[in-house]
Amino acid sequence: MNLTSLLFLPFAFVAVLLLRLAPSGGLRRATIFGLNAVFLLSMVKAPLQLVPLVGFVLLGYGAILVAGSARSSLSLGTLVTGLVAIFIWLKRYPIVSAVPTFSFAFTVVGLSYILFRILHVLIDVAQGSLRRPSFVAYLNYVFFFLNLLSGPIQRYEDFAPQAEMTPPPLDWENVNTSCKRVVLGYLMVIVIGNATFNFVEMAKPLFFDALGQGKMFFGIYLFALLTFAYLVNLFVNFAGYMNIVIGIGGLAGIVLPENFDHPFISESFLDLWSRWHITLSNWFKSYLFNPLLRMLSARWGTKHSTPYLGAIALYVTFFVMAVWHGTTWIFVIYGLFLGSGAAVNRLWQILIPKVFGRNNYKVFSGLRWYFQLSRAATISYLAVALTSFWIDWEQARKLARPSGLAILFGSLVLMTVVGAVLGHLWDIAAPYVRDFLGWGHLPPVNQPTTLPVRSSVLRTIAIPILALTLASATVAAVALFATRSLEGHSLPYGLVTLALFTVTVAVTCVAAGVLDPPISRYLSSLAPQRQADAAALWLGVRGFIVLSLAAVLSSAPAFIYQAF
Amino acid sequence: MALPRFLFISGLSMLILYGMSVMVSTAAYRGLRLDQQLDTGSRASDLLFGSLGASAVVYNRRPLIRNGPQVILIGSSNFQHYSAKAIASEMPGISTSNMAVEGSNFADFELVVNLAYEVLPPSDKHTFVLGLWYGDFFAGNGVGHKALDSELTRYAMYQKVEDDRAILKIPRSTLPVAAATLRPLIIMQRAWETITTVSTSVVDDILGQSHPPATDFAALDQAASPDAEQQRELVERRSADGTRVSDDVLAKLMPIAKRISDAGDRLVLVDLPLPRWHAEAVPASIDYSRRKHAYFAPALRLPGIYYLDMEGSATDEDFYDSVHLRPKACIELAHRLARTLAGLRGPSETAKLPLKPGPSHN
Repeated sequence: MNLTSLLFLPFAFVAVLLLRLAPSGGLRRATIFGLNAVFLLSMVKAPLQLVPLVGFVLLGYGAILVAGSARSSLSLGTLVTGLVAIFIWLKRYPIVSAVPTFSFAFTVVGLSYILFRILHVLIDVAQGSLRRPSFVAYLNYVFFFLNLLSGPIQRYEDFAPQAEMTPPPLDWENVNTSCKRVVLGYLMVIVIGNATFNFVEMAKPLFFDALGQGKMFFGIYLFALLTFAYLVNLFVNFAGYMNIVIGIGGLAGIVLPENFDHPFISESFLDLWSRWHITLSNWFKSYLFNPLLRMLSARWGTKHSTPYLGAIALYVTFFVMAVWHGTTWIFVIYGLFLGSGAAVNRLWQILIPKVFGRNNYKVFSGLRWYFQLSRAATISYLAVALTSFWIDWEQARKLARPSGLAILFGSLVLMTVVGAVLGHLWDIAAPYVRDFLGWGHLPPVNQPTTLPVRSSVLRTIAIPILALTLASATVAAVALFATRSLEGHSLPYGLVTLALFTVTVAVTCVAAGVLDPPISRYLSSLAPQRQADAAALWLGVRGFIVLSLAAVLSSAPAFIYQAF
Repeated sequence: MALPRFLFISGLSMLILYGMSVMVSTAAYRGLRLDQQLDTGSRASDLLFGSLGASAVVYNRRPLIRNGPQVILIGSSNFQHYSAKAIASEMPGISTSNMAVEGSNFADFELVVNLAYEVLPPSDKHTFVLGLWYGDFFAGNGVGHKALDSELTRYAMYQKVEDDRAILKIPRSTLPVAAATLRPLIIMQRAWETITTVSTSVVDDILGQSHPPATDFAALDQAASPDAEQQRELVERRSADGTRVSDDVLAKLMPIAKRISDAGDRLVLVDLPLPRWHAEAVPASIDYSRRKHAYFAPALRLPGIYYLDMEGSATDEDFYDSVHLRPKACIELAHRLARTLAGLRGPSETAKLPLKPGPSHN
């Protein structure tokens, strides 16, 4: 069962209900255990396919038992190495392709995240910073259905109390906030994810044609579009998933950690990794970067060398983190990109202040154009690095030729310059857009506000709605008339198409929460009970739109057939 | 009480919104007179159900639920503009539907026949007209097949099983209600397809690719016929699809003919016209002309099965590409087809080969 399948929604509904009905203790543990089992079994055709995965998790618990009693660095190192080796074998990395595997088909779904969770418990138990969990608590943590497929990587000490104790009572504000996250998540994955995926699929063959024909400038242009579209696709899918699981967790009374924090405003490559896949970055920081830096410092550390050792530790950490993302050799290239990005960023932070002086560096980095260029370069670099995700080895070899490298570098420059200019223009236009759409001077979205309403309902809601409609109609008109989509068609046909296009764009924006700030402002002016009622109504509107879109864009799940 | 009230209002608002959407979409459906006639080639059908026709064939079968004999046209895109209205005008008292689906092939026609039988009143005698050309008999699934598959299973009304059969999963009597309930989603889907089509054009422009402009009836009537160079290219392209039509697909005629004949209805197989430069140059077309009678003959021995040869009933100038007639020519041929159908004998008699199309009014 995929998180975005229509089947997951009724499962999640039942899960929330059961977790709310089983408030604490053994019943809650048993409920989580049962839900995890059902979720895992839904991933396979026969239970036998789960045997290697379950076996790995059992081995993990055995390792925790040994580490808890031995408490030595040697035994811990051996256990970690053993588990990582089995992980590599189960995932069929190319270096173990000659080693025989099981004779039956098996699944390794969620194995990467399971490994992180097991290693975290193993290391912390061995170091005495965590008490050994009970077997059921361990299984519930490792297999927790909301974290299983794509994270976030929650720490055991955060998860365990929530899996044992009565969650705080649910009020309408919590439900509102959580449901809105689920709605936004589905919209990101199903609508925007599909659109960007289609773009990538269309542009990919064209790019390799351009590369083969030596069309340098067209190649640069296409590669820039392609890499950026892939980055957006990855972000909306991943962040959308997170919104869904965090929202459902909130309803069930299990708070999951955030995994994204506005990554597109990152000022540097290192800043990016505190905003993108945050729980993974934190894991690597705790279990690879910090121990590695301690080890390097203990051996070679001096006042002058320690910053450079940090750059080395960053390189290694990011290289390993990148290689973990896939099982093919191409992810080594991704590792080189990420490792270099992190190390160069760190060296820049060390060397530039030394060369130009700390004060000059402060002034320099405070300049607007420096900020814009650095933000655009960070995102462009990540977009280019992610190329490893959508090309195969043969295509990578083509890209590694001089013409391919020129295209790659040219695209990086193009994206950086265009990104900086667009970023600058957005910063200028943003206050006006915010004002027009009623986003200005607001508390965080989804939070009830106590700010006084200074304007009438008309100004608070009607003007943003009008602005959104006008903006959608403009987008639709430009799209229809800039292309030849309506050529040869009658005027009524054109008008109906324009209306359909406008309504769809506007409705999608409404579902994405574009009108939420003015609506929140309006709600704050109402009496508490009417505020709750109006918020419920608005949630119903957004839910209706996203459920309809999900029904239209997805195919019917198999369980419906079985129901008849 | 705040939380239950909140959940109740949220759920209720979703239901009310859906109910309102059903009402609005039903009003649009009636306003476009889609409840009067199923015609996948009409502008109204194009507007609400899309130009492929698959969505209309699955979700707009309400016009078939009426008493009295009916004529039902089934085929692919080159039969879509044989206007149901034009045929009905020549056959008073007989309602006509066009269920042609763009990109479908002969294997899909059986599915469409079954979809029609699901809602047709069994007490009356109906006439199925299959518009044929050699392209219908290639193996492999086209866009029409995929569209039919996707429409049938999208809302779980049908389940596709082995042998490409579609099993209706809801009671037959609830089909009209289900289709009406799904109308808001169908319109939303149509709107989304519009966005997808336009976005694809925009993306094509961004990516530096040319894309064919969308065309309308009026433009097609004025469009130039392919010149010699275009004809050569089109013949090459058609020849690349294969040199022989599929025996397996040809063999699917018999089950369709038997089903219709057993029901006491009539089936008219119509060979549609092609430009001469196309029909005489493409190997698969020649292969089809040579072998079709061997497959048609056993079916034509069944009661109520007829064959009508319309090849040669249009000139090369009547085509705007290698297969499709201009809309005006389609309507003219639809009138001639209707006059021939009106003269058919009863289903208890077996046809003689071939029928002659009715006289032209030109």
